[in-house]
Amino acid sequence: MAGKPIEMRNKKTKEQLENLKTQVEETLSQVDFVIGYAKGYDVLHPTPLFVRSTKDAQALIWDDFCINNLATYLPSQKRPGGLFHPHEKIGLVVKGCDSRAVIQLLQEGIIDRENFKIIGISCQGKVDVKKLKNRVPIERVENAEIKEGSIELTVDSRGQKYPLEEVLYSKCLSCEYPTPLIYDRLVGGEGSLRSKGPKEFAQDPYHDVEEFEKKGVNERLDFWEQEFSRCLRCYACRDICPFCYCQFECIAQTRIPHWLSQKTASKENKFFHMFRAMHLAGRCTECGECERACPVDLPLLLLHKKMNKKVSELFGYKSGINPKLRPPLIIFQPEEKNIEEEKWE
Amino acid sequence: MSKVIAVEKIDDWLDTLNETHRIFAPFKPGGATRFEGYQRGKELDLERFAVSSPKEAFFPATETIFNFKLGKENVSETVVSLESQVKNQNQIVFGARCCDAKGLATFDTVFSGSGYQDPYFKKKRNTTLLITIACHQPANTCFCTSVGGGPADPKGADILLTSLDDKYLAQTFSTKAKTLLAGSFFTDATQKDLKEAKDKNEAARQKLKTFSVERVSQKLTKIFESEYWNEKAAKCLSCGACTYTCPTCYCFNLTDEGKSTGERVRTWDSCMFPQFTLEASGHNPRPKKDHRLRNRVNHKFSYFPTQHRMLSCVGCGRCIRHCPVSVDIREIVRGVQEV
Amino acid sequence: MTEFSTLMEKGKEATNPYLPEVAVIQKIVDETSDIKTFRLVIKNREKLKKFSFTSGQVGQVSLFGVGESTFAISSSPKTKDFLEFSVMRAGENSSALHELSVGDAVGVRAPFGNGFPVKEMEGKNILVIGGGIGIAPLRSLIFYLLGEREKYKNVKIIYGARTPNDLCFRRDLRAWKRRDDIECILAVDNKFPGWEGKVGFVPAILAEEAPAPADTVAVTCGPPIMIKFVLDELKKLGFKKEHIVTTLERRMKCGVGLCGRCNVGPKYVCVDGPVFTLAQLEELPNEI
Repeated sequence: MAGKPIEMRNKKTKEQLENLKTQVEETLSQVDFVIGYAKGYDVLHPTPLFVRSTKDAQALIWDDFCINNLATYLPSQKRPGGLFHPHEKIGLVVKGCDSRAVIQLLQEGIIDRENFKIIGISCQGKVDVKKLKNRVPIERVENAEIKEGSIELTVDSRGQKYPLEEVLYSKCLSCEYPTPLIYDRLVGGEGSLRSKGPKEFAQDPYHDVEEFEKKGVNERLDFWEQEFSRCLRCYACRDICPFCYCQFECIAQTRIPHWLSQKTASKENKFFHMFRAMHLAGRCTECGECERACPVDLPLLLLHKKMNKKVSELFGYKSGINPKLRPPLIIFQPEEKNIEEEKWE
Repeated sequence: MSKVIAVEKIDDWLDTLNETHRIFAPFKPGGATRFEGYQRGKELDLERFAVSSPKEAFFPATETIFNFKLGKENVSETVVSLESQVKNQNQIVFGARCCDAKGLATFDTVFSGSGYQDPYFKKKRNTTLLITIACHQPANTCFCTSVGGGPADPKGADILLTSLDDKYLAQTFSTKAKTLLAGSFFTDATQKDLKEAKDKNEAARQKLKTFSVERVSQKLTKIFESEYWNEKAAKCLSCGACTYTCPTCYCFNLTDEGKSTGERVRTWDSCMFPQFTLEASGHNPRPKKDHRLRNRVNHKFSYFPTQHRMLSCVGCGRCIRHCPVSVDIREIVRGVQEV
Repeated sequence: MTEFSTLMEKGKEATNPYLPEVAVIQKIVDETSDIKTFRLVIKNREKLKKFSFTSGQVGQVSLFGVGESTFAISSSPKTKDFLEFSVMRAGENSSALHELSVGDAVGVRAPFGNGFPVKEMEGKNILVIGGGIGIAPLRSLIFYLLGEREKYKNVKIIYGARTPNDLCFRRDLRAWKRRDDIECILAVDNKFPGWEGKVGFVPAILAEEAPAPADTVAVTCGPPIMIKFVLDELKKLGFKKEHIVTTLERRMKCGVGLCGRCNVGPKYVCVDGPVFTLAQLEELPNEI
């Protein structure tokens, strides 16, 4: 049973693509445009595609590199200065992890359900280009294909092969929602590796946080100081996050209030990431786009997962699952179940 | 002058240089190759393309412009001073690519050209030598040959190194660099070495697909109001990854930090940020990302060339590689010519 | 510090154009509810005496610890004892400036930009059209014209504001109205009790006055929307594009064409402007 779902990957992915194109074309009659994936500058980097016609839809792709969380474009609907006109209706292709972001945005009231259509697509995990970067010079990859549980790359006209579990995103290896949780149409499939694949795939989603927590405080502080010294403050992490919709008024760049110096030393950079982590606590749906977007490879997902783990322990809440819930740090309860505020004895 | 140095002697050479110069070289401390201060033992990475350009050696991400101290009792005691004096330290940028070196030409034109002079940049520039390495394996995002450059273009370099498998050919292009090649690490280059380098460089050049940008500047002016920009900017996130990793982007911000004692600092800024041109009245000449993307492309391929007769893009491709949504400036520029 | 020369000392030849001169506020005039004129005296009097600028040029006033903003120099270029900046309270810097008192210290970096083409304007009729705070650089120009009166033919001013209380430089306006060598027409947007002057928006007043374009240079400054309609009206009246002059506003930081921020097409407002003729503007991309 172990090898089977992965062997079937390629065929299934191709079938999904045909189905996806049909679903997108049909959705076009209900919306002004649909956002999906198209081929980018190389096989490893698909790019978002704005489909406005059946002709555009022919350029859609669906493969093991379609990682972008397209839900990040949803808040633009209501934002001034965003590209979309407020009256435009949007269609969106979402994977399971992306669908959590959609649900979270609904929880926060940032988007109106009647203004968009979701085409959900079942996903079996995506390849992490940064993991490939550590193995081959990805800037010269000519071809990449998944075959029989491995990824086969052609780099500088030579073949390289790696087992899939070494190069998939860590989040995919512990994926709990391979099928989207919200959709108007679904391009189905069998679901993730987690339930059907080998046992060692089914890692605890907070496994990396727990490993990190075992280190001493000073070691952890040194780690973050070292990491943040590389931060350029390009704000790619913030601007790709579906929940940093305060992009234009972000306190990282305002003078009133003047919380953060524009200086880019480790201290200031750390402060930026700390307050972003606080603002996202219990809201982040762990899509990992911030970490992917970072040009200097900061391990941002670790930080945000830590905050989510804490929120989960304190409030028993998980983001992006149920549109009727509200993130605990946005609502107020006079009494919290897991926080003992007053002792009467 | 042409010399050769064995590959295994490079670290020793850098150690010697380190005694008299501050060295910026590409290192890979935590996954991302970046230009950082040299230290023996740190993993030097001359193979991978550095994430950001070495413009930081001349144009740091943060720089103090002056310090101020308000006079408390007597306002005439208010003092503006340069406590963090513009330091005078010899620097070497080692291991840059030819596109990075060419990018410096943009900085030279802006900060020490015919207009106002920037003393902070000039001081560093005058005390820095550039040792570049020719590319033999261009990336799939490289397009230096399309914008008037090349993988072994010596423009802007003081010394150009060309890899010859077990050694490097070192060619000087400035008199001040000659002394660096005087040590015992170097032997004279032979005709064979020179030919091998020439062949390798030519082979690298052939690997690149070149496209024309001849008609771009005029066309950009014509299509200023076109819907083209709306289409191209649709996926853009308005972050600053492209500008901060770009070897020619020089936009900066000036902010005061501190209250009665503090400093005015210069930090990198990005024309892609929505707040870049936001006025106090609330009016913004570029409120939408299609305006900003249009401005960025126009600046590099139209405005800057109009003023200075050279493009402000060196084809390094970092903007393409680091863009989280893969906005591709090559595609945009080629598309402009077809609108 | 002394190794560097500032803008005020050496202009384009300054070795460090980022360094401000320290100045003290000598006088504050409350022009309107949200506009104040600050009379600044540079600490180093010698520098101030040697300093010269052209009307239309701007400067940056620093609130140390807060920031720097660009304001037009509103005093006469002939005055060597002080510099005046008229500031409307809008954002962080102008609000902080409005909280200051006589005797407080600020920084000044000046002059930036190109100023009004006063030499080219000689021998012509001059039409000055202002709205609101836009009168600030025009005031400097008018002082200059009055100081060189014989070099110019007819001088006419059309200036409007929302209400009489929003008219800036009332003391100067009264003085100009009393003179017989210039014509000064004031207007407010809507009828106002006690107001005997004209009523209407500045572009409408301009249309009403219908000045002849022959041999006349029109100089205008005001809110962007007013400028837009005034430019349209002037074109309608037949003014030549080379003889219509305006100033642009932009968010500025360095003021010396280095930070890359204030461009309209290939031109930087801080260096190639802020004064542009309509002919020049029409060659630039539509990005106002």
